[in-house]
Amino acid sequence: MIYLFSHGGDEIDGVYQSHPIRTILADQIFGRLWALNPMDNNVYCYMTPTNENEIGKCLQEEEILLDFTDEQFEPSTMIQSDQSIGLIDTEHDLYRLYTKDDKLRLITTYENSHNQQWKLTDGVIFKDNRTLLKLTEDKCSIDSNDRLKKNGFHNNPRRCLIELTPDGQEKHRIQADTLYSMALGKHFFFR
Amino acid sequence: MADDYGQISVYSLPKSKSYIKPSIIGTGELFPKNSRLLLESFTVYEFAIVAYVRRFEQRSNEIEHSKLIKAGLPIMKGEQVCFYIFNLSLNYFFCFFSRVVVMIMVV
Repeated sequence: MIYLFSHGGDEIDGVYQSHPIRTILADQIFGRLWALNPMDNNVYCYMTPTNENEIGKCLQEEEILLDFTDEQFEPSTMIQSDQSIGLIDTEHDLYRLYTKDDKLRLITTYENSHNQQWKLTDGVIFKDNRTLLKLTEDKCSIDSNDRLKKNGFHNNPRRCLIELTPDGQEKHRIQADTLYSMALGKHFFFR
Repeated sequence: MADDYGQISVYSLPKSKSYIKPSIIGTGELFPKNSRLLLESFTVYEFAIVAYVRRFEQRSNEIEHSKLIKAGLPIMKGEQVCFYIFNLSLNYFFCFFSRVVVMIMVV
């Protein structure tokens, strides 16, 4: 179900969806709600409802924008800036960045192939199309004894950040062991 | 900010570059914690907070099916739920049937 709530937390309306959604992102610039459908492996969008009467109509009409059915790319996380949209495939350790315009042009791709101990799990996109990707230590690939020695405690995978240039080159690697989530505001970066 | 169970906190952010920290506007819950619902994803825009919510059962159903899809078994749209319910009913039937047989044997 997709539910809409007022900013005060009161329920406005809800619409049933016949497929799962992994991520949903509101985009006021393009007037769209971007959604990631893991079952059909595609990215689609709804028009953004602007009042109560539009909710049912808007959330029943889906437009498929990117279809990865025949590709070895199964994104599970979607991130956005004002002009771009990024897709992260944690299983295959791949990242793709697209423009948000009508053509949805592929800007860059990145594959985390050098270090199998870390998996791509999240990110934020800057307005100049640099990306800060979050990597989480893959517990399965490390022997548990090694991890205990390195980390000191058991169920807490380490995290780190990679800054990517707009053409997908690694620029910096930042240690961020306890980073849980992050968001980019107009003037701030929160972690 | 929200957790998986729909507990939310709404903050306002300072508009200009400064060292002022975000201030909390309020906290609340989108649905009761014991409702077996999970907040899978949420997003905020001018008009509303949009939340995609699923039941625990739907999530395990999807995980089960993604394994089948990866194994190359085709599942038609619309069959997903029926297939699962059929599987469950079959399991319950065999469970019930075996209990009856055991009871008869005991008697």
